[in-house]
Amino acid sequence: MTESPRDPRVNGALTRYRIMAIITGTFLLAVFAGLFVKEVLHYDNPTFVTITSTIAMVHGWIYVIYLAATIQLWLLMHWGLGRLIVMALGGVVPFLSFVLEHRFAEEVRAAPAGTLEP
Amino acid sequence: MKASLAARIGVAAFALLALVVCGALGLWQWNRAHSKAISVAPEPTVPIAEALLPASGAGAAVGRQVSVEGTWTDAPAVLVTGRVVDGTEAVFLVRALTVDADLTGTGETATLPVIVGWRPAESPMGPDDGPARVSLTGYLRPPEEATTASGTEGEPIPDVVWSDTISPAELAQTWPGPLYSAVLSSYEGSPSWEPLPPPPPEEQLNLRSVLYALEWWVFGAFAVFVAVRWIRDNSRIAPTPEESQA
Repeated sequence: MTESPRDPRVNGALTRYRIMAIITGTFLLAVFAGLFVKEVLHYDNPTFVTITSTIAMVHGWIYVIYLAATIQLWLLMHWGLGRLIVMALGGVVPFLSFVLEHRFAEEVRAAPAGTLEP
Repeated sequence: MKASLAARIGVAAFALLALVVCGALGLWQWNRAHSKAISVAPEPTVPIAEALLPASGAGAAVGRQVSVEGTWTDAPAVLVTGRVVDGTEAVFLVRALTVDADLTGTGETATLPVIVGWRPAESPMGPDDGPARVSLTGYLRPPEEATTASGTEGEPIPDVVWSDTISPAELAQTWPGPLYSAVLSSYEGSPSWEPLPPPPPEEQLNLRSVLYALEWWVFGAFAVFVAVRWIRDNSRIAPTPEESQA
């Protein structure tokens, strides 16, 4: 059907997924750092609380975009449902998205030609 | 890659569950945004009968500024724990005010829960020593939900009960009826209790709840989308690499 070894959409989807994984992961670390300072160190300055809850809200919407990018890549790669769940967890488990992003990027690049639907 | 019927039903059931859960969580946030908002309406202060009648739903009266006259009842006052005022842990004093019969709009007296004021949580607690007959202004707050938990108990004080919620439904058990369903946050305070500061700008909180509601619904939509695509893609024999390249 096509001479291209892979669906050209995969490259774009992979780039979007990687960018969102890094942004989501970074925001997630900020959310957890804020939670730690607030709940463990009991620092409840109202301005600080407003800032942390705003970061949490922004993270929520970044996570939505991350999921959209994730689902697109997942569909193009025809991965299993288990992997989608792990990828979705990447937005809520600290550091996970960085690890996944790195691993899946390698995997997509190494994917043999023709395994992807035209 | 044809998935078994059981797997497809399982995925469909999971998507349905996700849709219900996300839909409910979104609805909960949505309602929170619309009912929990405590802010003062811009309208000028009116006599309470023009904003709210006893024993009717608080509805549009929430946030209205009202004036009221009456006498404090002997019914037990409530010390409400677990509050925060200006970043300080606080206790609210809520008392039962018998609103004068000619001010209720129904011709008979009624009981209005009034937040008299607050004290820092660690300060000594006691009843209000203000005059028995008062003329108050303030704004109406929505009722809070009753809790089944007994709440944080302070040391027993005569004629005072401890609670962690301001729920007219709960107060109705000990206070004389008919009861107003909203709670007046008094601007005056009393000689021994500081009035609450004006409510913080709640629009931001409101917006936050709306955004969280939308977010839950987006998650639900994602779950359904993924399930539909997965079932569709796994319900037919996928083309082999050779076929797809042919």
